[in-house]
Amino acid sequence: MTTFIQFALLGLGAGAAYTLLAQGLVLAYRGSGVLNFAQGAFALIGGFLFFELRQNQGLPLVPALLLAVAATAVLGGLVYDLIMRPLAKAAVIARVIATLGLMILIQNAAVLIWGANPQSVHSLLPTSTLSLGGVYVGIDRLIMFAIAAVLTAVLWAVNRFTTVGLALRAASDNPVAAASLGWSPTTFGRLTWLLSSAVAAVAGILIAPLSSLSAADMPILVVPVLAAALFGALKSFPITFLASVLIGVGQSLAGYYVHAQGVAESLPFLLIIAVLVLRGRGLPGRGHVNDMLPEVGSGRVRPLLVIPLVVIAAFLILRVFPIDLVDALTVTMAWALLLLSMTVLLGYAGQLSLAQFAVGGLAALLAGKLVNDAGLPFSAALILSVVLIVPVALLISLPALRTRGMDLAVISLGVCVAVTALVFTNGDLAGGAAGIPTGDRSFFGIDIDPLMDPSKYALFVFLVFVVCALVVANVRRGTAGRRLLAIRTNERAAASLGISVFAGKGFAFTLASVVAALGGVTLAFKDSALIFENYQPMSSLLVVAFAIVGGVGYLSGSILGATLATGSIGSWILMSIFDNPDPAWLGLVGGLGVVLLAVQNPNGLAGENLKLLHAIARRIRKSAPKPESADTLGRRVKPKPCPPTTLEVKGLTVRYGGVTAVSNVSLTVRPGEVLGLIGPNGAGKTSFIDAVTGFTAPAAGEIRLNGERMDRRPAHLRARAGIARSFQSLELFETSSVQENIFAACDDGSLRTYLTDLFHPRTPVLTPEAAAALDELDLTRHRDELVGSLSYGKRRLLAIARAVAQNPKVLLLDEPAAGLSGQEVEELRVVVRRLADEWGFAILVVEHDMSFVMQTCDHVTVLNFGEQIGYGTPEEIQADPAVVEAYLGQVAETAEEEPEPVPSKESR
Amino acid sequence: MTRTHKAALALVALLPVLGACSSAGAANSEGSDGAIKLMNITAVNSPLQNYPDVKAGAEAAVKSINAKGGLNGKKIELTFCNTNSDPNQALACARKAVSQKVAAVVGYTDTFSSQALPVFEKAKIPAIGLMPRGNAIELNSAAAYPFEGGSAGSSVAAAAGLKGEGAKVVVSVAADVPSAVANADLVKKGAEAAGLKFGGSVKIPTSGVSDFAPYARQIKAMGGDGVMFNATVGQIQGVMKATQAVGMKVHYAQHATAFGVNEAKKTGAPAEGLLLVSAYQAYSDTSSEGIKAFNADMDAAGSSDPGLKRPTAINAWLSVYAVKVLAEGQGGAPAIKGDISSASLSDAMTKAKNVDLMGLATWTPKGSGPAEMPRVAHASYRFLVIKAGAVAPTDIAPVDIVKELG
Repeated sequence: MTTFIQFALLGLGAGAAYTLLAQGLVLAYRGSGVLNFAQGAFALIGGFLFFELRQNQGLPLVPALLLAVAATAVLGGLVYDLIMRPLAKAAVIARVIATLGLMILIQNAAVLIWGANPQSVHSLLPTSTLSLGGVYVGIDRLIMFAIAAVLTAVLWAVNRFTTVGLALRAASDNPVAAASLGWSPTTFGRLTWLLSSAVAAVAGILIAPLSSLSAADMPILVVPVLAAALFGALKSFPITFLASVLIGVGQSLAGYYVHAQGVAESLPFLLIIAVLVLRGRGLPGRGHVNDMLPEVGSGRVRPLLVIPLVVIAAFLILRVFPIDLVDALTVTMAWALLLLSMTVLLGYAGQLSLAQFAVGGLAALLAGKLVNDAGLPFSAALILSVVLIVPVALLISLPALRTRGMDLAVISLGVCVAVTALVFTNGDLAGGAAGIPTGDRSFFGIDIDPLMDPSKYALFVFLVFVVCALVVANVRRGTAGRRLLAIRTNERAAASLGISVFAGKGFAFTLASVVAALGGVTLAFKDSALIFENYQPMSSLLVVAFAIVGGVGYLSGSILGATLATGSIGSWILMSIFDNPDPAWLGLVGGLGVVLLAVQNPNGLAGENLKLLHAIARRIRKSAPKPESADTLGRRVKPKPCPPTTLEVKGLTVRYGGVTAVSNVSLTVRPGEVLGLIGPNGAGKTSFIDAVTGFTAPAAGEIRLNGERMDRRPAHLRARAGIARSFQSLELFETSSVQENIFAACDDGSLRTYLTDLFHPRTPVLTPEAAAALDELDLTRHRDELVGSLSYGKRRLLAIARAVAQNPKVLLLDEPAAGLSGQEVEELRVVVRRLADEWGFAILVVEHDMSFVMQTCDHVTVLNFGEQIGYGTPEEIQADPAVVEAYLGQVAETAEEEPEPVPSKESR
Repeated sequence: MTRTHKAALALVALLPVLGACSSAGAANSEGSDGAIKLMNITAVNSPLQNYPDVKAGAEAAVKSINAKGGLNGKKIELTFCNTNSDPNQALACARKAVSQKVAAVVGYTDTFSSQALPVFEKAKIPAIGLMPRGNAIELNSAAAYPFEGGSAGSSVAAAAGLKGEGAKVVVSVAADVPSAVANADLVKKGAEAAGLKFGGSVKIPTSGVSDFAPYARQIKAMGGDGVMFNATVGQIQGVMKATQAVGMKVHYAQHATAFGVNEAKKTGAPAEGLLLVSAYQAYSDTSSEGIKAFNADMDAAGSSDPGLKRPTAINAWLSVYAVKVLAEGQGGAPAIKGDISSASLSDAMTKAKNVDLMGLATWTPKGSGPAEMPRVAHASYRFLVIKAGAVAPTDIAPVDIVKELG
């Protein structure tokens, strides 16, 4: 027991270190929305500045401390103003990548200034040891722990009890709203970055004496710190403190008690990942705000351009290029494959997974084992490893089903850390110090051994890339690509259109893992032995960084980004021009390059290059009138009435924690009927729709469609069964055109599409119902316009048109008239009646516009505090005293006071 | 797009053309005036590995030999290639050696030898004086001609030195990577051969460690009073400070190839008394004629900084002199009459036995050693110590690990 307590206490030092770094990370995130990968690098700067001032320049303790902290804080403020502010409107991932570039830049600047060797520094805290009943702990560790606890308490108190804290919380939750109240996001961003950097400096000054000031080691501390910060949901200082201490103590205990390779290093991370996954949810909640994502290319392939380029490239590789350039091309193409996998995963599907390098490495390990242990030839090993990696990658992707955004990024990074610790550095599994011999490399009898003549191997990798790029382009142009883009843009909307988010993400991870596996195997097998101890989590970060800088939404972006990898074309060019360039200078320039490129081209180089090429092509070509495309929209089609379908809801109850939002509500919507659902704000109307359509799990009740139970089906299957909805918040695919939004609704949902699109993507076709929906809502002439350019009224109509285009049987409209002008409301009323009378839909409308409800609906159900308090015709509801009191106003004072006349149904 | 962007794009498009031209030119070049081409490959100024002393040692030897007329009337032309601690760059350096048709690679010191050695093997370029860094290929590749067992050898020898300091229980502290862990097994073998108890292995993750107190505690729990490191300098600093902070009395040993005056300076007081296991004498050991010659050459080349005089520098310096020795014919091998090329050097090394390398090492290039290091026929290790920030000799008797390993 004493030993257990001893090692637990010994973990407090590391726990305190992680706390100091993590709280600064959380502070910067809350103020600017950016996860700062350079937090450890700021700690390094603070530590080195203090060392320089105190030990080298001989300044007294306090001035040295204050100067070091102040200088680091100023650096943080400058970083915010020069890098984060210009990127304010860019994708969040672009801002994160900028911090990654900053980390590399600072790391190498430190090497250039203070040298590559780690520097031992004196502690400014007492280093004696306290002994308690046979258990020893350093006084300095206890003081550090106390400092971390006090810092946590101060941050918590400021956040909770001060106006600044309140403003910070507001700005963190809704920057626009906070700004409208006079709280400037810029001020908060700058302030939090100043404070966060100051805290990092203090962390660096306190941590350095425990280990050393090392440019290689301190910046990488950000990896376990991320796990702790995420455990606190990037907002809770106390929980972040708890998680940091747990990680520190856990690592100390695991290091002593668990001798299996890599467990000590990966265990704390894995535990926190498990908690985060369990805490997550399948579909984002109503309050979830989708982050801005980088632009995406069209996937169009011009054979007349591609084929000659491939032939010329093959000739150059085989006959012209010198060996060192050929080697660089191999590395470039292999990295391009890894980055291409990010195009599928992040560019198209919006999944920020940082595990791709690990996936590639695992595939290489599998291939190595198949060659070395099973005696298979390289070609068979390559194919088998790619096939076998898929279930592994899907296992890694499981967290993606319940997490998203930065959560997923950190979780996947944790998976990467675990794979590195448990597998790659495990000598028994990964071949030990000698590695795994790669043997003879031939592909179906063709010798491609790269040892002395690397040109054939380079050509092989190049052709693998070309094939993969063509497949990915097919996916982009096909239905599968549209599904991924829908999921990327708005998971809720995608599910409401019948797109299985689970299947879409599974497909994306599968395809990405195949491409990453090919990249990993071809990269590893260019050498004579596979040495895995060099596979580090940092490489996974670089895959994302290079993908973003190159242009993660574009196929050519993968090649451009790959040129930044060490050993690739970029390195070759630098080595050719500069003789033996200093690696620290190379790193510094590389880091600066990543930062500048992220700031200048948040959508990546490829997008800018393509715009330039298109501009050149337009100037060269004489402008010809664009041929009118075949009338795929068809002529105005009289809609075919849908099969009569009744929606029946019985005893529906929805609870959120201890709050009952909907209590035992029953209603029936018949074909051709418009049923209104009204009630004050918070009555449970949207919760009701969410429960019926599968976006919220009910606590009780039944939902039936023509007698068939729906309540056990996920959202996308209810959509497929015929329940369509529009959202209060519209949930349109903002960066797509009107037509593309409608195309998403025309998807038949077939899973076979994921396979066929790899080889032969289908040209999108508007179904007659979709064409009629566009006509019905007067959107045909806007079909090529981007959603973002439409008026608010048109966007509302598009939301309805998209629901109608699904060819549903039941339509649930959530506040369709909100924000419309009087004229628009009247037009909407006519459309809704026509959808019921001519299309035959059963329609449920949630609305606050009483005039619209009374004139449009056949019947009205009233909710108040989640309970049903009235049902009847509009006239009956208007006269119901309970409804009047709860919703419409005070009860009439006299019996003689009569309600306003309501136009009869015949007059509509 | 701005004009600046367009100009930058145009420049980027031109660079590959420029690079191809310059690279193509380099591939065809030969040594000026028929000079003997040698190459030194190592990593300089990268966070993971930093061997400026290797470069300095090789250059000093070449300068000195050329000043005395060169080899067989020809000057030596030494090219340096920095691997930047990157496996791709290590391969690129190996390719460069092949394209430049060097006669030998001298003093190769790099973690990524598994990338380079297969290329040298295929091209039949010998890596003379390769310094083994923990990869098995370095100790059994046909292209590798190490003078000593490198980190593997010093791992075996360490226990004898710790015993000389009074240690009874040896613990290995290693970075948690396969190459370091493999050396930890050799520490155990050495402890057993020295008649000491082996307490166990402490493994330290390569990243994410902010406090080394738990690892110091593990040493104590194992009863260790003698520690051999196979770890990074940062990890060594962390562990030493942590053990000293809790008053543990531990004798430490480390590879002299990875810890010299500069590392001692950066470590400060905790490094005082650190035992360094070395195949060569300390640079300050003026009783050795070989060391005197080394110092003279280094000082003449402007590399008098003691931080540049680690055993790795001595090894690289010796590797150039090994070429001289082979050219002149020693150890039973006749002098090389014609061109000094990779072929003639390899042929000479086939015949040479027990070659005396400046009194600092005995070398049988094609000899066979123990199973742990087949290419190392002779390996005797000495024990140096960090004293007042400098590297000084000790009185601890050297140990012949080839005999120890049988």
